[in-house]
Amino acid sequence: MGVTVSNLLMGPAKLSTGVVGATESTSNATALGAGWTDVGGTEGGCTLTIDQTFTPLGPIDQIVIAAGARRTAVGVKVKTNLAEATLANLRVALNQAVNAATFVEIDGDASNVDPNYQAVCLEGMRPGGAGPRRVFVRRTLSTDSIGVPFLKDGMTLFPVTFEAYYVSSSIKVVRVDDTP
Amino acid sequence: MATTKVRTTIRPLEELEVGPEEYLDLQRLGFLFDTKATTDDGLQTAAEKQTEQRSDTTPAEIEGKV
Repeated sequence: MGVTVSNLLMGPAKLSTGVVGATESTSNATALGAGWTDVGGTEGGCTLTIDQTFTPLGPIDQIVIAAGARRTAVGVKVKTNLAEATLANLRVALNQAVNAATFVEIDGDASNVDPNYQAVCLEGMRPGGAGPRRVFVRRTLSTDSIGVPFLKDGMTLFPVTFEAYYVSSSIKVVRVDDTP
Repeated sequence: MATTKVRTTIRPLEELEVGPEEYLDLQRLGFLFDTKATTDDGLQTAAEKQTEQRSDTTPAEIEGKV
């Protein structure tokens, strides 16, 4: 089988976060507009993971192999380490709203109010090398434990995992977009 | 079932047809936007402006819970 070498991909992605509902550009040739913030450097790559669970139909007495399956769960995650240890990025990791204050506080109160969901955009190369591929995950929460190491011989990184949540029937959870 | 045509801040150039339940959810999420703009650029700019205003609002405020 022939190989199209220009379809092979390698290289880092740019990670931006935004308010849920942030406007996506009409084409990938246009920069992301208001409502999106580039989180800056990352370390260890950015990984989009799409977990799918299919529950088999069967087997039954008369058929010994599954007759089919139904999709019964989907999980979407974006995982990376934020390399720029700013308070703005700590707020992103803690699902806190954008704030100009020079401190971050964490409360211990229980609440029934929705947390601060975030939209996430990964921007890397698309096959063909002619421009970017954007992955929009439209409603996420950063759900990982946030370890903040202070090391004499290592960088301080904020590990983040953005886990996706349902938006609506018409607005899909994830969009992988190669539009030029 | 009655449906309504809406535009959202996410992809303002696309018109969606939604039922009443989804309409309510999109409204509470702050995704719906109404504009007099008719051009593609105008729609995009209006949506970004609304998004920018929402960036200064807490999620609870958006959903009318505080």
